Amino acid sequence: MNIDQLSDFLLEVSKSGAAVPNKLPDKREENHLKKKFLNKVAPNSLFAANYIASNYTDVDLIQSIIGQILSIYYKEGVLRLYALQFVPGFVSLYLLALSKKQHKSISLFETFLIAIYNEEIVDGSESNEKKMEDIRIPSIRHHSVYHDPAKIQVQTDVPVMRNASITPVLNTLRFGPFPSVSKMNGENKFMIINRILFSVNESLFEVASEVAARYVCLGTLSVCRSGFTFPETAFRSRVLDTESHEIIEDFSKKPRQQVSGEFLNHLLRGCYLALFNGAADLALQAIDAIHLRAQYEMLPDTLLVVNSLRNSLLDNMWSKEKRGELMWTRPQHKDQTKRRDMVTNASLKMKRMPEDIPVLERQKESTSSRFNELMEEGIDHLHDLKKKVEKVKGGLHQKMHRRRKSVEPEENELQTIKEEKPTESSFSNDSDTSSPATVIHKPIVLNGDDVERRLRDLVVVEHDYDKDLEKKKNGHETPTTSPKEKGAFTMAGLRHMDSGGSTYRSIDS
Amino acid sequence: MSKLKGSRLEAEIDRVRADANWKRLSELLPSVKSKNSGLEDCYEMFQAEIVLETYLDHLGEIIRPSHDHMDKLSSAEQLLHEALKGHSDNYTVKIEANILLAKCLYACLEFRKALQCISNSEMENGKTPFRTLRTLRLVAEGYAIKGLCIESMEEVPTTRPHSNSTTSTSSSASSKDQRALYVFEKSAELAIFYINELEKSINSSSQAAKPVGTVTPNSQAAGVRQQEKIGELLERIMERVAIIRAKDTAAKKVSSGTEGIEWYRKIITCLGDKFTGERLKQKLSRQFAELLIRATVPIEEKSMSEAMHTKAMNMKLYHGSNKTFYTPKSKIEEIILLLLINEVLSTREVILSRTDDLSSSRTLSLQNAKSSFNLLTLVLSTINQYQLLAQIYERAMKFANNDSFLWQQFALSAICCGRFSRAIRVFEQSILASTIASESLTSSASSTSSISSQNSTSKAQNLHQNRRPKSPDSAMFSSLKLTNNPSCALSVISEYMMISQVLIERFGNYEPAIEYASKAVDLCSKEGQLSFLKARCQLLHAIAYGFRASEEPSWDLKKAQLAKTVQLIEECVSIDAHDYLSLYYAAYFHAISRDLESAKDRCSRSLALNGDQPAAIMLLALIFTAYGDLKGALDLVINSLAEFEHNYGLMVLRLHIETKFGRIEESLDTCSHLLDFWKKQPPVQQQLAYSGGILDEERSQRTINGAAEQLFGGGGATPSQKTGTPSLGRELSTPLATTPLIPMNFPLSSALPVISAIPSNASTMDLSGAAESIVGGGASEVGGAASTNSDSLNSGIGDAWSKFRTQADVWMCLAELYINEGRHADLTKVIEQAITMFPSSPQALYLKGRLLVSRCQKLADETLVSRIRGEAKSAYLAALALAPGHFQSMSALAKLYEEEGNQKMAEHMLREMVRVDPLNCEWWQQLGCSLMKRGDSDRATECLTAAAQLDRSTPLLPFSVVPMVFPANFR
Repeated sequence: MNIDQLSDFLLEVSKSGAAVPNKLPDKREENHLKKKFLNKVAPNSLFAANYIASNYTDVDLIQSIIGQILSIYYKEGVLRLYALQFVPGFVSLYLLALSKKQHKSISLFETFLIAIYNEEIVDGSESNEKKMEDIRIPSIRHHSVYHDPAKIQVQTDVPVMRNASITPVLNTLRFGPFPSVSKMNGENKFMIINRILFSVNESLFEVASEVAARYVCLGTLSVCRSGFTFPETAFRSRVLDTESHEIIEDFSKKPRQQVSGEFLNHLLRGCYLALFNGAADLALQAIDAIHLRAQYEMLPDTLLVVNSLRNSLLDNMWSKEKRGELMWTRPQHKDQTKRRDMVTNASLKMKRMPEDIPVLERQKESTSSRFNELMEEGIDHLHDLKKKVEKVKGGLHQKMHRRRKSVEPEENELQTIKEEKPTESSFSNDSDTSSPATVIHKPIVLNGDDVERRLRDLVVVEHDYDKDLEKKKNGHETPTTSPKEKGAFTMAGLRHMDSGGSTYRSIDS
Repeated sequence: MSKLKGSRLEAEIDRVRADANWKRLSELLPSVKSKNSGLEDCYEMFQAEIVLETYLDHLGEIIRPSHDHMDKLSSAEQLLHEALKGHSDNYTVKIEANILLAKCLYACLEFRKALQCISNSEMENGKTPFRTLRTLRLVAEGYAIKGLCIESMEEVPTTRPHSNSTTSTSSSASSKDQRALYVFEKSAELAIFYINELEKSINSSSQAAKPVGTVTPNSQAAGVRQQEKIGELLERIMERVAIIRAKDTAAKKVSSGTEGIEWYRKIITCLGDKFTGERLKQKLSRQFAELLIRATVPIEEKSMSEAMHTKAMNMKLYHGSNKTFYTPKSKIEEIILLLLINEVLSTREVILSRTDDLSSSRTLSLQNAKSSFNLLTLVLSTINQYQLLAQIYERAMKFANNDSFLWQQFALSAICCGRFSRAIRVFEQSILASTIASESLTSSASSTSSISSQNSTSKAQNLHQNRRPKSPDSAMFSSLKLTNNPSCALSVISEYMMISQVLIERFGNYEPAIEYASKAVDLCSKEGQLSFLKARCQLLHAIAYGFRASEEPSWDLKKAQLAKTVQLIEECVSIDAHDYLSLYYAAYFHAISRDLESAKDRCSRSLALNGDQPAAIMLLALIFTAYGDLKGALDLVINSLAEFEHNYGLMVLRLHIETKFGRIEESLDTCSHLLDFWKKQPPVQQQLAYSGGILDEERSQRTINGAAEQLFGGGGATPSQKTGTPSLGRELSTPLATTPLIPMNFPLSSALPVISAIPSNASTMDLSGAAESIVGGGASEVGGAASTNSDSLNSGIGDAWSKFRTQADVWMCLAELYINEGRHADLTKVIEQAITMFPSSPQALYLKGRLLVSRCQKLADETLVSRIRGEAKSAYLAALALAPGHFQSMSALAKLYEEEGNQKMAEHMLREMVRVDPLNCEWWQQLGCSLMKRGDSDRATECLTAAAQLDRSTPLLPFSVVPMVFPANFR
């Protein structure tokens, strides 16, 4: 059910995105509309990316979503930018799958990346020619619209060209044409990834995409820190005074992922752009991770650039004005930042939940429900299990983040969270906070689904029966309803998604 | 008399005020005060102006409004009030005095009064004729002060939020923002106008001063003084209007007029060809470049900018259309131009003096230069322009002194563009600078100055003598004290690792590599937090030790050192079990030691950790051939070629294995193009013919590289064109410039020529991009390396030599295959080219001899056979002169002696080969055959028995053919 919700969301994105105009005479207006669209769909997009990251090993589950994203990419205009937002996260998942030798996932992401690459190297759909760009490096000894060499007294030690030509261009570089690719192998995979990341850096940060900024940094952390125990450095706290409000998972147990110097340089450029587009905290951690990884791998080109970035951020003292500029975002971003703080507070509440759960019960439940999988898959599955739990928490963050847009879903949300607690204290809290309401027909059907699911689970775990009893008791005392039909539909949808997620989670296990 | 006096006095006063020469103005005050001077009305105003401006100059750069200024400026305020009271009918006095009074009041935090004065001045009427430059500047400053006052007054509603509603406050703030911005724009417009007029004034003044000899020095002094600044207020306002407008654009507020980017362009195009405003030019060019880099503002890409268009038209009008000038056509071109201008300006501003009183100014100017370098690094690395970046950092060496950051950045950029020897020296300098910086934290100032003196002395001596020690001086680094500075320790460890790797991979200089790696290990041991680097440092140490062991002439010493190498690498594997590189080198040295079981195990584990290692696959395949499992080896290689379809080593290895199976003819036909892999292919050259401009640019690039190489090489050989086809000529000119430089950089040691120390099995991955252009028509469209910069035409100097050197052994194995099959026609031309282009290559000379020997076997004329055989012997001896350990040349020479009937000499050579390399069954086989011919059957039997036993552990090709692997090679 959860995947159906995402599929509907992507269909809606496809329709509303088609309404955003592609070409406008006013470039600023065009970018403004694109930015507005991307900001509007950002929360659900983050949820979709989290979902794919949590379930990337289950190809049957996510390949329809990735197919939809690819079809969105083939439409022109803002939808292409929308699809490119997912690329940094997918590149990270692809490298992770490579290091774990998960061939199904590898094939899926390879197909996606090859399709985007072959489209990115073509210059528009009209002529079907490949992109080419000439970059002319200016010679400082010749006139330009911005300077007169006689006036700024160019130094004499600038190397003199013996064939002193009249042209003011020192050198001309040509980018492209790039070859079309039918399959990714060890030789060309980083070339493909670098070319796509180049497009992501060029396109998405013009519209200041929040999703791209976030996942460039998260992907960088995953690629650089997997398999390493890097020391804690003071880099982030020296640049940014505020405390880190985001907790990054532990990568030290993951297998190491392969990197190349140019690939790290593209990630570094993405992190630098993310630094000024609303993801400063993550970006600084990612830059630090690139620095340590480049040290380990002895990559001179990456070290050169990351040293420059660190020098800019550390040695040149940031005045208050500059620090404000560093954290400066649009009014929309300010609102989103506030909502993120609310999510942080909620995540603190989420963290208290495991402490309330009895340790014995959790161990018993975990052991009994996962026993067969442990026997089959061994230790790798434990890592997957841990990652799934963490991702589920992340998903819950996004759910709460989305639900807090209105008051009614908030109440429902609180009930949903507390209903999952197995202890008696949660029951009393639940009775205190619930509000009276009447039951509508659709919620009854959903309750039926819940009952059915719990009956199915009853065969496996005895604990769920107690939860079912608690729910029945709670249902009798405080039935819930909504005054509006739309509200009812929304609540139904949310609960439906939640139960759907649970269903798929049980199927996974 | 009075008329002449008044006019002359007025002109003099105008000039003095425009130059801001307040001392001179105070000398003229008595003349102003005298009757009938024509300027009596301005006396009080001039007096106040002297007080105000002198005080502001004394304060320094920035006016910070404060109550502390009130005492000192009260006299000026009173004088201005008197001037306004007494002479309000004088229009000039009214404007200028009011503006000066507003300036006073602004400095004393009297914002409302200042605004009132500006209103009283009526400067906003628009009817004002600007009589003098001073008036124009004062009006511009008046607008600036008005804007600053409006901005400062925004704080008043904030301090009393309870008295206003939220929406009202927000609306009021937005309105004030708009008003301030409007006023700032007016100020900026007037400032631009003022700068233009000032420039004209300076030019006309210098022209007018020429007839009068006595006035010329003053005029020049005035011009120089004007360059220093155009006024702090105007600089600040022009900077501010661009920033605020850019923020408005990004914040999507309703804005009238041009956007922030257009404001930046307008100001920079105005200042671009002026003497004045250098500091502002420097600031704005960096800010504008930074703004473009961060991509937070959409760029109008369709049409050219209005400001640039106007400037271009003006330049055509002024210079004539035949003279070209640079106009950026894309965002990245604009960024690069701005940053290059900023780099020139900021490096000029760096203070070279090291006196204590200038310390803070020097630090600030150095930080400005570093900001410029950092942005240039970020941009130029995106387009792979490390050559230009290295030049920029080299110019920074004038003021680097003890700044280890600049040294390190220069060294890293030198590595990226292939200047490895210079990079090592610069790294050493950087480590020394880190040492000095670390010591200065704990020692006194006098000690610091003495160390600086030693450093400068050492540097001068080093540059003067132009020599390099064979191994690093241990005393130079023994004073390292880095435990109290973890960040510095991390940087120094990184530099040690980089030096060690470059020495191993590029120069084959293993003794200093071992020493540097040991120092890195020591530093890692001191720093507990850097344990993740310790395994890598130890691995570098073990690798250097192992390759040195491989070159040991004595077998007993070699065996002992190889055993220690294996032990060292096994320690690295135990420390970091997830490091594929440790496992690869463990496999490699186990294989060289003929411990094939361990080698196979380590190689498999390494490939399990990182499957994309063609070198490891090659090694594993060779291990299979040593076991005699040719089918397994062939399957492994063919499967790998599906992943790495252009890998040179794997292709050659497949040829060799298929030859063993008898599939010869079709294999050799399809792969004949591999023989001259270092050349550019005809499809690329056809592209050259289509575009003449690229030819010119390539020639320019080559000339730049040649000039740079000469600078670095200390006067190496000049590249010269050889006769032949134009494309061949361009190829020939490149390596000749490099090849003679190598002996000059390294004095020949008595034991071995330096060239033989260069490992010929260095990295394969350098050529994966180049190999891609060899095979397939589709791939040749790409050209060179597959990256975002696909310009294969800008190959650096020595590129062909570098390509050849890294694959020389593999190429030799391939060519031998052709010789064995009798395909001389394919080889002759290629080998002749190789000898011409790479005269110091032992592989090429060896192949020449082989070709001659193979050819003379088919000839019947005994005299001709004898002469050709003599030539072959000369070729072999030349190869052995370059590389005394070249076993293939020894083996071929021994065979030649046998054919000549010189059995004793042949046996002597073979015994030497067996003594030095006893693990190769070929040499034992050859020695056994030789002894059999001489009739010594007992010893021959022993040798042949040894050969038979060793055959079970000898690979198809020597293990040393497998290339060196480092993470930086993979791209």
